[in-house]
This record gives sequence, structure tokens and C-alpha cells, in this order.
Amino acid sequence: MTIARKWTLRYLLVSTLLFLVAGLMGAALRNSLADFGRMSDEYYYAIMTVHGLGAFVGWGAFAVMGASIWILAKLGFEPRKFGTLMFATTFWSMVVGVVLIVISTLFMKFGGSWVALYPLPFHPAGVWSNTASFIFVSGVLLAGVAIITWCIGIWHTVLGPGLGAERDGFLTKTGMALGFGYLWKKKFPTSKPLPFPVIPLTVIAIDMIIATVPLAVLLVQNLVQIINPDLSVDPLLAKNILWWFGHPVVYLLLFPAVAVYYYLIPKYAKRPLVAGGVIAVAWTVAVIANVLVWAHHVYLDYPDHTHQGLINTLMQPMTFSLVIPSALSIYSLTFTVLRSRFHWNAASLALFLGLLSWVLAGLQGIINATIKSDVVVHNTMWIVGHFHHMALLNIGLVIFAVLYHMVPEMTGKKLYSNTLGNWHIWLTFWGQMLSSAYWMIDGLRGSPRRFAIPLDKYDTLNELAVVAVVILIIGQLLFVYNMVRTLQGAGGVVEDPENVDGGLINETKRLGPNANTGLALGSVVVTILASALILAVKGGEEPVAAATTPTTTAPADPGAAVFASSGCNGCHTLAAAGATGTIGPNFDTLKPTEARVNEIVTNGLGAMPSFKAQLSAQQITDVAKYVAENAGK
Amino acid sequence: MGPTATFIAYSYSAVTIIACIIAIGVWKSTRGERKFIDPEKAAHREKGWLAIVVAFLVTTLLLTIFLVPYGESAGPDAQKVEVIGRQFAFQITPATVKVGQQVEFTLTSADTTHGFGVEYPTGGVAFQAQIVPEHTQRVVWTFKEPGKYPVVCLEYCGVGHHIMLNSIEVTP
Repeated sequence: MTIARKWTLRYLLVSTLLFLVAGLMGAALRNSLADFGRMSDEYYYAIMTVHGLGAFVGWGAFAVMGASIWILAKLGFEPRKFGTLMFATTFWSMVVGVVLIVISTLFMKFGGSWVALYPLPFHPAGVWSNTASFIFVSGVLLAGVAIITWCIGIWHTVLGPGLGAERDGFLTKTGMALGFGYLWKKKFPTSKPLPFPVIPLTVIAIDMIIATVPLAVLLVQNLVQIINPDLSVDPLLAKNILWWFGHPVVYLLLFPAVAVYYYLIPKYAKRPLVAGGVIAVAWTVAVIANVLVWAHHVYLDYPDHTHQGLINTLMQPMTFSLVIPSALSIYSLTFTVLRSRFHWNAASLALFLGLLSWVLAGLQGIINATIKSDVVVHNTMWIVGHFHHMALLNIGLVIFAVLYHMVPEMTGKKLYSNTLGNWHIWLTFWGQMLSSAYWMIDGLRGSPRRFAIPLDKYDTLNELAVVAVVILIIGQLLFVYNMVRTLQGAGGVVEDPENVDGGLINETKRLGPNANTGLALGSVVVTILASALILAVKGGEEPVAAATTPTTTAPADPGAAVFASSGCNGCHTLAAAGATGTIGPNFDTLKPTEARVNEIVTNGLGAMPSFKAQLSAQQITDVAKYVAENAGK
Repeated sequence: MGPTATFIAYSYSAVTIIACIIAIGVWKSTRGERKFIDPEKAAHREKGWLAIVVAFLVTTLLLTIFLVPYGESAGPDAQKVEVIGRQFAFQITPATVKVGQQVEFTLTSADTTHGFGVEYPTGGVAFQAQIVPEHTQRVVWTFKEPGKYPVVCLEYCGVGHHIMLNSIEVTP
């Protein structure tokens, strides 16, 4: 137990620190969107990049990876020598990876977003260097290595003596760990029934190896291409490889969270998990379907002369089939809680609200998985609302339950205050429900994601979202205080670690049934949300003119038309054309000559591409004349 | 918002409310002295739940899978529009099309991946497609109302992603 305790505590400590840092970055990004302390575009996108990776992999994945080690040990699957080596490698690989990612983004302005969609790292628009790309890609590669070694460690651990299998082959034992014994008792005999939490952990350990290896190859290719630019790959293939990893990595968070549920809910309900053999069938579906659904991230790619459209169409039913393990797990857990003598405290409240959030995030997922509806939500703020709901409520609340339940279990120190814990959970739940709802509404209204400066028509909800940010921050401050006091030993000593009734959590100072507080908070949130909806819909009724294409210039000038239709306004400022871009030089202050403009538009210069192929010589002459005549006016 | 977005908004709100009511019901059930549910029976009924879930998924699949945008081809009268995405602008030629007549968009990228997103004049995405470099993507769409349709970039393409805006004028 000491080895599992040591590594789980390390994983939880580092991941919690990363959560706090990534959370503060998220708050800063959200305030920037609301124009309360707006960041420069370069820093916005660099922080967005590190926030995404830090929160998703550094916090979410890392925390549940740690919790998994402890749960397995509690169930009799202690890490053996090789497993321990793998878990140690994972830890250090992840830590170094995170450091590299932080250096490349915060200090070297790498802002390719966490997916770094190929070939974006090679098109920095003059913002980041090749060195920054190299360091960033190396950091992601190390995080990938960490995932692979963790999977090997888990796989090795679940085949250990805890399984109760005597002298069976590797494949048979893996089948046992996947729960096949519930389906075929004779073929997969174990001396005791397999604990349910082992099944999702085995599934994800197998799948993440299959999912991560191709990504690692792509990342190595990226590194080579930085040194030798001639070695490129097909961007569509690269995109498929990215999502081949990018979908299962979501389940790297969810499946261990399911293991936490299978492990903790029966303890709090004080009865065994309601589960039939059908659950083993569902997980067998999951192990296969999980690696065959990636293309639902590329539903809107179907170029000529490719089979992408066909692959995408097949992925909709495949993705739907992944609903089944979730739906069955939610059924099992709900019926385990229903009419039980459920013990309510901060940990079990977090699990319960996490279960509700799982249902909601899953329903959002079905919408995203449907091609017809993905066309209107893909890459809008709806998606941002969806995965923050998933990460912070469906997974995050489970991680908080892990901390509230397992830190006392592992350290022997009781949680300092159950009341503070309850407040933390309720504030997080409602704060994020509100935060995600705003994003989802704006997404349906068409707000694109990853816009450092959102369009004016979305100002209302972006500003109101600061309320949600404040609610979330207050909640996390309570959490930090509570955890620090706990580790100081202020909550007392755990006498009976197996007792959920006040055995682990200091429940002497009760504030009555805290569900009432939660319901009251909820009604406040619903009221804010309803008024925001009315405001947003009111604002959305009037047609909004596209902010960009200037309409003020004299239409008679053919150069003005070329200026408007070629997108010059995207990068350059020219008051006469209503253009306010800041990427390239400002024409009003630069006042270039006609000949100079003509030459650069024709041949390009630095980040400015050549327009020779798209514009006729006459059009270039017109636009050059127009710019030279109108600059500074 | 368009019809699909409106449908999503209403149906998702409805299921959220139902899920919250069920959650409150489950919470209340743990506070009385009611009898445990027989785990054997509940586990047995799980098969019924599985059937419900599968039926729901199959129905949703059959209702939506034929509405995919893939493989649509433009008729001979289609208006042709060429779109080039580059950091950080859309070049759209021509940027004016007629209402009620098919438009075939041919999308290419000059540098990295972009997303060609066309929104309704009243807000909400009408249609979109990704523009992956080294490939040509075709989209067919018929505008049903005249007006100015904003064009936004719907794939992150670098530090000027948010200024990659344009519009299409649909004339009667």
C-alpha cells in the first residue's frame, strides 16, 4: 500500500497545483473576452494553448491516473516492481513535459492551441520561432510517453495476483480483467469475482496505447520537419492521426472516473453496485468502439478525391454505440443510490452532482456526434461550453470527491471541514453550469471559438460570464483553504478509514442539510441565466452587419473593391476603407508608395503572401493606387 | 438562429430540466426510510433500460444520418464561388450571389487549415466546412433569403484567427 500511496499522493499534489494555475489562466482568458483586462492577441493565444493542455492533461488526466493506482491497490491490485517503474516514469515524464509546454508558450509565445493542428506550427505568422515549436512538440511528446507508460503500468498491475487467476496466459488474464468472467464463467475462471472498477481501467489502458502511438509518430515527424522542412505529411492524414488520439484521450479522463464511481458509490450507498453481466458486454463494446470514433472530430472535412465523407458517416453510429457503456453505468449507479441509506457529505455530494453532469455532458455529446447538428455547432462556443462542462463537472467533481475521500484515507488526516467542502462543490457546480450555459447559448447564436476578441454582438453574455468566474474562484478558495488545513492536521485523525460516516471527513460542524443551500444557489443561477437569455435573444433579433467588409468607401474605385474582397483589411489598418487590422503594417502611418504596394502585393514580403495567383495585374495596379492615394486620409 | 440550432436549444433545455427533476427525486429517495430496491431485480431490469437506450439511438440515427452534407453535387445552373483562405483573410470571388439558386463553393487554403463558416444575417451558423491545405473542398448551398451573410473562420489558424472575417451578399 505504501508504494501506491506515495505515487498517488504525488500525482494528486502536482495535478491539483496545475489545476489552480490552469484555472487562474482560464479566469484571465474569460475576463479578457469580457474586455476586463484584455490581453494582447499573442498572449491570449499562448495562454489559451497552455490552459487547454494544462487543465485537460496536466490536471484532469494526471489526477485520475493517480487515483486509479490507489483504487487498484485498495482492491488488491498493488503495483509490482515493473508497474511501479512505469508509474514513476509517467510522473517524471509528465512533469518535464508540462515544464517544456509552459516554457514554449508563456515565454516563447507558441500559440498553436493545444491541438497544434498540422501544419499550423509551421505557419506562426511571425509570432513564434521554430525553437518554440520544437520545445512545445517535445513537451506534448513527453506527455504522450507518460500516457503510454501509465497504460503499461495499469495493464501490468491488473494482471497481478489480485486477479485470482492461476497460471493463465497473457490474453486470458487480460480477458478476465476486462470482465469476460461475467459472460463466460468457465473460460475465464477467477478465484473471486472481478471488482467492477478494474474493467474500465483495463479498457482505457489498452485503448490509450493504441491511440497514442500514432500520435507520437506524428509528433516525431513534426520535430524532424522543423529541422528539415522538406519532410512534410498530408495535412488531412495528420488531422486524422490527431483525432485518433484526441477522442480516446477524453476517455482517459472519463473511464478512470467511472472506476472511481464503481469504487466509491457502493461505499456511500452501503450496498453492492447494482450491475448485471450486461455491463461487461457494454465495456467490450467500449474497448473496440473507443478507437473507431475519431472521425466525429472531422465531420466537416470531406475534400474531393478522399473517402473522408464515408468514414465520417460510419463514425456517427460508432459514436452512438459508445453511449451504451455510459448509459448502463449511469443506470447502475443511479439504482445503487436510489432508496439507499446514502451517506451525504462533501465527497458523496460531488459524486452525485458529477453523475448529473455526466448525463448532461453525454446528451450534449450526442448532439455533437450527430453530423446534421455538428454542422451548426462545430468550432463554435457551444463546443467550449460542452467540454468545460465535461471537464470541470463530469470529471472535475469526481476528482474533488477523490481528494475529499482519498486524501484522508491515504494520509490518516480527517478532512478539516465538511461544510466548506459542500460549499465548494455547490459553488463549482452552479458556477460552471452558468459558465457553460453562456457559451452554449452564444455558440448556437454562431459565436466562433478561439476568438481572442469576440464580435460585439456577443458582448452581453461575455460580460455576464464574469459573475460565473467569480463564483468559481470563491469556490476554489474555500477548497484550497480546506485542503491546507486538512494537511496541517486541523481536522483530527482518521480512526476508521473504512467508515464513510464521519470516518474520513470531519462532520461535527454541520450546517443542516446542505442540499437546501444548493437548491437556493441553483434558483439564483437559473434567474441570472433566464435574464441573460432574454438579453441575448433581444440582441440577436436584429440582423448584424458583418463587422469587416467596409461599406463606407466610394464603390466607384475599383481598387477599393479589390481591397475589400481580398481581405487586406484582415491585417492592415486603412481608415479610408474602414480597415483596422493590426497584424501587418498600418498604411495610415506607413504611407507606402504605389510602386512599393504593387511590388509587395505581387511578390509578397515576410509574412505577407504573394497575391500574384489570385489577382490580375490590373487588380494589383488598382489596389496599389487605391492604398497609396488613401493612406493617412 | 437557424432551425437546427433552435431545435438543439429547446430539446437540450427540456432534457436538462427533466434530468434535474430526476436527480432531485433520487436525492429525496435517500432521505426517507423507504425499502431498498432489490439489487437482483434492478440488475435484471438493466436489460430493459439497454433496450430503451438502443431504441433511442437507432431512431436518432435513422432520422439524421440521411441529412449528411457529403456527396452533394451542384446542378448545371449552379453559381460558382471560389474561396481562398489564408492567414488571416477570406478571398471570396464573387462575393455576391443570387437567392434561391444553388451555389457551389470551391474552398482551398494558401497556408494552414481554416474553417469556412457562413452565418445567417440574424445569427447562428448556416453551414460550414473545413479547408485543409493541399486539398480542395466543395460545398453546395442554396440561400433562401436575401441579405448580408457574415463569413467567419471556424478553425483556429493562428494569432489573427479572430480577424478572419468577411461576408457574402445575397441579392433577390
